[in-house]
Amino acid sequence: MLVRLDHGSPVPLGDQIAAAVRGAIADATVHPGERLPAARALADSLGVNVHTVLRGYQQLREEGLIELRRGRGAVVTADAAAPGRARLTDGVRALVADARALGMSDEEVVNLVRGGLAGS
Amino acid sequence: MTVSPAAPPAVSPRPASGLRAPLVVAAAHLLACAAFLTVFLTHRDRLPDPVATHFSGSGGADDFTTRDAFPYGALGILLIMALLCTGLVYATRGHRVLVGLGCAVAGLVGTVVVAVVLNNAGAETADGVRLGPGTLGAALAVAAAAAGLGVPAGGRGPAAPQAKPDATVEPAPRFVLREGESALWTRGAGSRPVLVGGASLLAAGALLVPLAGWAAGLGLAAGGVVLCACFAVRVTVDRHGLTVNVLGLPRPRVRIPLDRIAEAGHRHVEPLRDLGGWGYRAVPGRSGFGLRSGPAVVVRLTTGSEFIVTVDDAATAAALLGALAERERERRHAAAGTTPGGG
Repeated sequence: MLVRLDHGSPVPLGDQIAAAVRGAIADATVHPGERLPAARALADSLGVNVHTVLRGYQQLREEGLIELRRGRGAVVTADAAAPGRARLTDGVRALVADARALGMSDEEVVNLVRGGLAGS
Repeated sequence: MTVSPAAPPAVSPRPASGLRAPLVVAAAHLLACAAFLTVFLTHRDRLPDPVATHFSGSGGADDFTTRDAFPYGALGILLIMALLCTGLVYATRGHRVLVGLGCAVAGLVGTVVVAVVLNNAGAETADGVRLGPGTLGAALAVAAAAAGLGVPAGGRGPAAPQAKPDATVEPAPRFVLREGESALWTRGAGSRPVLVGGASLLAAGALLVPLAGWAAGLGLAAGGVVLCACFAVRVTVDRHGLTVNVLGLPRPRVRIPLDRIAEAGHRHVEPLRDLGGWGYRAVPGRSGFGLRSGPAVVVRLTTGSEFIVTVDDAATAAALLGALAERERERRHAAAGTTPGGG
């Protein structure tokens, strides 16, 4: 798993960490059920605050990609579909970024997705 | 004692298959079991009860087992050794050194248990039974003979990949670190055969405690823990350097700081050939973790020696490590340049 943090980027560091871990789950460098490095160790490696790493991990938990357990740390969801879900989440983020760049409103984006769902 | 328990089975001289070497080792151990059982059953009525089963350095008996329990204990030890040796040979795809070792263990243990039965036979009480250095000599001779017969019977061993020019370290592809960028690469590494070996050592240790006493059992169990520790390591490349953590814990760990790294690359590593075995190893000029055959991060240290750790995706790890080490060098040069004589 490769994590690159650009401290000069406008993207929050927590989001950058989440994106890197999501990418690793998506391309199966990290397997379902595998334990991720402890937040403290990751923070020390990257020279950032532990809370920054935890924010990234928290985001991945909300996406259902990892589980956070007291004492066991962060574990990739033991679900064979985890890589696919990670790719899907990446796709959604790309979609949202593209839509924002085009100046679309939330309503328009949701309608676009709804149209896609209705068409399938 | 005249029984040689490790005559190799007849094997046709076909090319080595994956199962041939383990079968030869298993057969040697089964012959040891058969030799023991034959000798035990034919001498059963002449054995004292209890039987002397452990002997001090001077040859006198110092531990005893009831006659009914004795064959189970002896067979237990023989079968544990059989499983360990056969498993190890299977895991290494019939490496010749291990085939020889496996057959030698069969010969040694087989001869000793047979000698124990023969020396007990006819004794009034177990107290007078002795097992001198002569037995050990005979056992070693049988072990050597078994190894000598077993190695050619076990086939040629795994195909030697030495023909490949893989001794040269592939330089890591360029990895460009932007200014103010921090980067980390981390991955778990392990080896299933080592875990199986560690678990079986733990089990053997637990079994040996009631049979042979605390010292022997604990020794084996400790070996099992060390092996299992080697199974679960995490390799990390970051601003501190290259770190290998054992069992996912902060410590123990082995860390190569960036300022000790002269060059980082990757190549195919065979632990037995390159490091002399599996686990954490050190040979002259080279040390590291050899957990399986395959890609490995190879670091040339400023001292000139090599540090190796086998891990998947070693190319990425080596590339990042090289870039981080380079940046560290530039940083120190810049610091030295801006503060001349600043000490």
